[in-house]
Amino acid sequence: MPGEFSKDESKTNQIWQVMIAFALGAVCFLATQVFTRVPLLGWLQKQPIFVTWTMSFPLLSGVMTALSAGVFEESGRFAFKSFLLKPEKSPFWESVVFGLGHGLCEAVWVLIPVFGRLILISPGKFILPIVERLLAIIMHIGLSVIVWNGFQLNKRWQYLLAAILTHGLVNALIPLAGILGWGILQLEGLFAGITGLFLIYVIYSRKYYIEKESYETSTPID
Amino acid sequence: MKQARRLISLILLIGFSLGLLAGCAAKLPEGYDEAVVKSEADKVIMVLDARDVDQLTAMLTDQMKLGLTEEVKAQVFAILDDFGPVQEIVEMKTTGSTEGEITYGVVVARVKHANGELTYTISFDPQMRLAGLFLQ
Repeated sequence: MPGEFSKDESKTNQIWQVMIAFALGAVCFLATQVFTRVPLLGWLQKQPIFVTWTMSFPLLSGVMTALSAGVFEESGRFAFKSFLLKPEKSPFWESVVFGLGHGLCEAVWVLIPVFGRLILISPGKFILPIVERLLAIIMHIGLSVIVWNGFQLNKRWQYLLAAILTHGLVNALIPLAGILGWGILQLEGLFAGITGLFLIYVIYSRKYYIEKESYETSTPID
Repeated sequence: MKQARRLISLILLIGFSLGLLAGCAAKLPEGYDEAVVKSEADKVIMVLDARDVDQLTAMLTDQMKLGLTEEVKAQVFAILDDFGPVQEIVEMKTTGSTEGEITYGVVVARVKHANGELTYTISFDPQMRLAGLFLQ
């Protein structure tokens, strides 16, 4: 039946779109962190002027390094959305799947070397890194939703800036915790609270996309 | 486009501010002489290059003597073996670092070895004893 064929084709198309968005999320992480920011930071950390600056201003340098993650990753998300994920006004799932790909790729990249060491030391220490990565994945979904909301609401530059600052502030908690002497559990607890806020924001943001989705689902397929 | 320009201006402003901050950094704490600190750091690099363990031990603080075990020394020398002999000290910068009640004089040196470059972070206590050594 022609109707069934077009329904199947549409489903296959959507699966492909989901897979592409997921893969692009992962590629975005690799492009903005593994192949650019991390080597750049590695190079900077070997420059005496940078090392002396970080020692002179430990908190400021920690915050700036944290902010650099926001600049690289959020600009990457923005560029991927601008050039590779068309159209600008997209379904809600696109940002979620992109963030999931980004976050999962980061989790694999962060956890693989840690797992190798933890297996030798103590298998019980798996739990905290896994919980931390799960929280990070949700945050990446939230950050993708912020960037996507900018496109959805025609305020792309403002939302990009908001995503950069949010990402930078969350990461800045790590050097701040070191200086304030917070324990790892306190820090993870704070991350869990922030992740909760991200989740609320993601759910709240659905309303920006509902009109488009209801339009899509009301389009007769058969 | 107006917003894009605004964002680029903001990024440039942050970059410029960071440049200014970099210029403000690298001050040795009071009581440290830059020439002396650099000369001592030079000596540490050469002692390591010569694998002169006795002279190195004589330069250490008591805490470093405890920390620099045979195992740690073997790790440091393994890194130095990989990079080969010192060719030249390319660059040296000084700064300070406070831990507890002690303020240390710190030298960060970029050193060219036969097989690559290493960055040495060398800390001295007020008595000019070697209080910290970090290679990357």
